[in-house]
Amino acid sequence: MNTTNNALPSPASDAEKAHPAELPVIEVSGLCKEFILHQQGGTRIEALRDVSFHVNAGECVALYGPSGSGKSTMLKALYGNYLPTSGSILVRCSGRETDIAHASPREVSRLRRECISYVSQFLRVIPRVSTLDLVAEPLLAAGCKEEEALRRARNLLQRLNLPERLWNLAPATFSGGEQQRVNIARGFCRPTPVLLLDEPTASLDAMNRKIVVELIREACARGCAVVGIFHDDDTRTAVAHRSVIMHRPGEQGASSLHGKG
Amino acid sequence: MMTLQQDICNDTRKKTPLEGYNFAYLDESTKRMIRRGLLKAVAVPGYQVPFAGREMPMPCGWGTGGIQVTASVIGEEDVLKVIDQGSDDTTNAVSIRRFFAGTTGVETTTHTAEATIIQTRHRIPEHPLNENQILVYQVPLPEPLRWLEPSEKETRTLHALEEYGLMNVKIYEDIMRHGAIAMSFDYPVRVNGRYIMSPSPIPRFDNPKMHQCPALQLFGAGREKRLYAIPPYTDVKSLDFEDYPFEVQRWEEPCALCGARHTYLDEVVLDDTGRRMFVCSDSDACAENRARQGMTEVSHE
Amino acid sequence: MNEPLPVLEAESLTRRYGERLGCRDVSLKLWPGEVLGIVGESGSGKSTLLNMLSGRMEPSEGRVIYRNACGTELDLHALSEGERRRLLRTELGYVHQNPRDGLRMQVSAGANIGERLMAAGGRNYGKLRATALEWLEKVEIAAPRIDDIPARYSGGMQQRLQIARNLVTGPRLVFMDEPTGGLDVSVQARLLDLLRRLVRDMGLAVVLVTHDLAVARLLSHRLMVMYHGEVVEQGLADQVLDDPHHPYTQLLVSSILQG
Repeated sequence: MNTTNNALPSPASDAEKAHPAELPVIEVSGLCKEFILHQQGGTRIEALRDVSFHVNAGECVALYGPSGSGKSTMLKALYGNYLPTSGSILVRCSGRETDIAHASPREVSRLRRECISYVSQFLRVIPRVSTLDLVAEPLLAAGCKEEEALRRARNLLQRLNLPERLWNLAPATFSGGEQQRVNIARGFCRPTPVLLLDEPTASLDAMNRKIVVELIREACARGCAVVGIFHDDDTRTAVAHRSVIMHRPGEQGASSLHGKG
Repeated sequence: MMTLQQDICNDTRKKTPLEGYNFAYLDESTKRMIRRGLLKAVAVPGYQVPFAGREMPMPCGWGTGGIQVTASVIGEEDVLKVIDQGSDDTTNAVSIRRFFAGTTGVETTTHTAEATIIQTRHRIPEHPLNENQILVYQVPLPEPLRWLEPSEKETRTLHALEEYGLMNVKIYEDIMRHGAIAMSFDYPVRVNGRYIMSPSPIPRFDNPKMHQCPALQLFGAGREKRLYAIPPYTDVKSLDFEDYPFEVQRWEEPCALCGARHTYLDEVVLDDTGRRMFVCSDSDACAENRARQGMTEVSHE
Repeated sequence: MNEPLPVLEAESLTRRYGERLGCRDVSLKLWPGEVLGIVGESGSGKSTLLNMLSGRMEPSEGRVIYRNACGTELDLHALSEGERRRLLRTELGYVHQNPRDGLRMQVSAGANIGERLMAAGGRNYGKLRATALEWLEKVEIAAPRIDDIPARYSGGMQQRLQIARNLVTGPRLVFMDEPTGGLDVSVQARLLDLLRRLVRDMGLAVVLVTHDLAVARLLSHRLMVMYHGEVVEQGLADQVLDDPHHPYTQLLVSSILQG
């Protein structure tokens, strides 16, 4: 197989220098994912082959590669949304080490509740729920008091310039950019040790993109391990400490780029 | 032609029963079967015991349940009183009394104190009962939970498991609709702290009389073929809520005939202009009262 | 951190209907605060499983353990009928697909909510009413409707009333059989939102049977997929739906989400 893949151990990044003794928060090793489509005569689609990389606390790592290279699949596997065929995904947080690739649904649930925030590309929610409640929901689920949760939700929506008149409406009728900002607020509302971002700035204007960049940097500054897919190079170079280069399986394994840009 | 009063008076003496009939109409094995059922009913106060009810020479709804119970417990030395809504001289009471006078030849009476067996439809006599008396109730619908639960299997399960939330739903609905517990007849009771029981359609005014009553109380439902009982000196509690306690009916005025203040009164419409008066529903108690006060017999005309 | 113990455990539940198999060798655990969705087409054995789990149907093999608030393990099918019924109207709840099966249609909404309390000994009209009003508010039914009979309610209101009637005793575990079936889409959304909030606020454990994958996704944490009486796939709800492995689950996901 590919021998050039991921250069672990990598040269220390800024964040690693700050926390030299700590193990990476996320450690992906030899991850493979194959889809078998039983509806199409058992066609096999290989999405990930032997992907390995790690993310330290306070570090932002971008998944980078052409479409079809498995960036989204990788991110979904990190969230426990896709079940890898082989390999492991270690997540270390709140004093525990969990292998998401092999953990029970209950453990993954706990990990999501306590450690992982996820900003998906699309907002998938109950149609009727108000924006404010949606943003506060992950906090409430984690046991935060309602008042505090709503306060934080308001702050974040304000910062993302979502007009206040929209806060009590359900986001179903919002524009793409507005929905995306609701989604971002929902993901950033809770200060978790791990943050996964799936094209968070895709439908945002320059001003809001800048705010998201700020939010990501703040997350890193407080020690959050961030993994993201960024559709534009500007945002990526602005936030990522490193990039993991993804290839279509069979072309070349994932490799790590270091430093900004 | 004899008047009803004469009929009652002439009818009271002990005499020879009709020929060709067994004593009290029912055959002995049927009576034994019913007595066994009654023993079980007495042993489990308030519990409805099924029994093989017989065809009687009158339609269901005329007290066939009570008649079968009376027929099973009556002996030659008994003195029988029959009332219908408190009165000894209404059709139902007269025909049942005649039926037993004819088939047993026992002495009959209208006086509560003299009777050893009192068969009743819809009342408990005003005169306190004693240990030597049996009160037999005619019951149209023995199941108090039927109102909300149509399935017999389910109501029997509810009784067996003592699941009586449903009964209180009825009381809740009553208060909600009427601002008070409005059930004025057939007001459900809890017997001996266990079974909830329908007291037959007696007015709720009579409910307290069942509690710790010295007389044996037997209930017979002919159509539904059920027997149940309250043994002497048994606790009988009318259901209620803490903030809506059970209360008996009260009247502003006394009985227009005897002046009694603590009896159950019937409203009698006097003429087409709507004049009315309130008189004792228990005709025997009313007559006794008047006699005690030296009043003359009031004409029924 | 001490892991809480499961509130419900099923061990190799099997149910036969004569020759036919209704449900085969199903085991599961359910923890407090967790919603377990059971999906599959009609006839796949979901209702059989739900009936066995809720103590309403005797399994041919296997057992169902409910752990009560004091931590005592109760074998649901070994309990006497009285104890089982008492449990079903206090610590457990059951929401029927058709509200008519779960409500008393001829008595007022207030009495419907109060019945479980009265069965538990509630004998104070004022308090019963106050509690009923509190619950009507929680399920978003206007207070003046308290004295109406459910027959005068819309389908969505009836379903919300049924939920209030079940939750008034603060159960720990609720079984739901297609709770949003037969409702308009907009009414469904409102009910889903309400259920999610109640589940979260009360820390309820829920077994939810549904054939609607969208409902399963929005309400459940975990999913079990049933096919021909067997569990063919299980896992986190979004994982099972987004990355289905079993041929039947793939068929189910592709036919329903795209249809």
